[in-house]
Amino acid sequence: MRAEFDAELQRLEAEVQEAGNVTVQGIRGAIVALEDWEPPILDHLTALDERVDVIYRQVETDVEQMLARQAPVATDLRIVLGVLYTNVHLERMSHNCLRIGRLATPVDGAAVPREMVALLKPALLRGAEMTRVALDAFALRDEARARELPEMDELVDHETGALVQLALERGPGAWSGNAIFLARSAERIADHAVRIAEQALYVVTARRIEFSGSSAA
Amino acid sequence: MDATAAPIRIGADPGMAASPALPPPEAREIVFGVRGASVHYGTHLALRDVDLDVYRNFVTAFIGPSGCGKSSFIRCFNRLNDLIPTARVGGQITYHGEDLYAPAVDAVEVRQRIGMVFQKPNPFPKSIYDNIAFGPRVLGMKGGLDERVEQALQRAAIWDEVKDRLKTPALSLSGGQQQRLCIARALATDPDVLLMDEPCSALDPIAPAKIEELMLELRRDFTVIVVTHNMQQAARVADMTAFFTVEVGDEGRRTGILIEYDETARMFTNPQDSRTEAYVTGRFG
Repeated sequence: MRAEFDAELQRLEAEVQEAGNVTVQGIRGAIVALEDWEPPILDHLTALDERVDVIYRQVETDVEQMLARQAPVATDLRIVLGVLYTNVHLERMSHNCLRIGRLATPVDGAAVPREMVALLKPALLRGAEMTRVALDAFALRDEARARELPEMDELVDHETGALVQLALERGPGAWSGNAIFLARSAERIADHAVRIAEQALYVVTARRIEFSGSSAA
Repeated sequence: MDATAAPIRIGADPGMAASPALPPPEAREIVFGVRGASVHYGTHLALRDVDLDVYRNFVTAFIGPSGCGKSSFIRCFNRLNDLIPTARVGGQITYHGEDLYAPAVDAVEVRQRIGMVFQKPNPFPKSIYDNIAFGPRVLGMKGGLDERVEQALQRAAIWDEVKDRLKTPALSLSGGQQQRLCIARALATDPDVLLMDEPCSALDPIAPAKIEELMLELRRDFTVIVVTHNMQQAARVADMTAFFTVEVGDEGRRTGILIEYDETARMFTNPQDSRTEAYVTGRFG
């Protein structure tokens, strides 16, 4: 009985890790869309987002089944809840990747300005790294790794803030409005990664710890 | 934590919030205070060094693997171990601050105030009415017997099912109804505390839901202590939970010890002792 339950728990965690891997691919795809937008990149990002959606629904179903059949408690319960919330955050992150791909679509033949890409790319690379660190912290029950996230998030906030500032300085124009939405999506990806780190901390410590500064909901 | 370490107590982790549904520890009224309690059967130490407080109008659950002494312990509260010739209870157990085992204390009066329900329903081979009236009659409770019977049956949530057949044999009831009848019988003598030793383990899968609902109802007027093997039952009904386990000493002697006693919500979400965690998650026991 317990062996079967342990196998189910491991499967749940593996599903979330897979969703995380696909999400990181999505972040890299979003960078490609910013740097060198071609129509196929949207198909690629859409396919990745759909893959995350499939995993999202599977995790929801599996968690529902597990709660009904196994009634997990203590650490097991925290893992299940952590998986459930992490799943939601990854679904949102993946959607933001697709959104970036759509926002990066050339306007009147003009691609995203280079100086904007120069600010967004490091923010997104950091978002990918944050996702990996947060998921590793969850898988390894590593409190120290989870606590690395807020500092990384501050750097992303700085980079996306600089992009917003640049858009405001440029004034009304084809890319100024989109740049604000692009900055917002990149910032949200990082915020969701912070929330995943909070789930890792919850599994390890049984405490609901909220890092200040991130606003992903 | 090694097996000889002191059990973990409420508030062991100040960072953890107490359950908002429960009054804070300082506002709780202690019904039983247990200090250094032990139970011997002859020379065998069955349970040792138990310290805990049982609070008024709480449901307190004792959980743990077979042989951990939880049933021996619950029988200390109404001095039922007195009826076992080789049994000896050590340490101190107070009831509303009075030593429960003081020489002047009448064990019969103790059992009137501290009722008990057992694993297997055990109605007397009498009518439903006579089962409930038995205790009050023996104790010489005069007058209003019909009202007392009705009230006890209502409190045990079985009145509606039996009110039209009070003179029929109690043994004609279903297992779940018989158990609620036994609860009504225990309530008929106006107890303060109700002890329940695995009250659902002999019932069909549906009946425990009614018993559990009843426990939560009874908590309003009584203090309830329940021994259960069903951890989900403890999680559903208990305000406080004590986890006992067995330590195996020299020559294979098995002695029950209290490992952890805390609010149930915390015991099932963040137990402080790895042995509790292993038990409630099904990795041990």
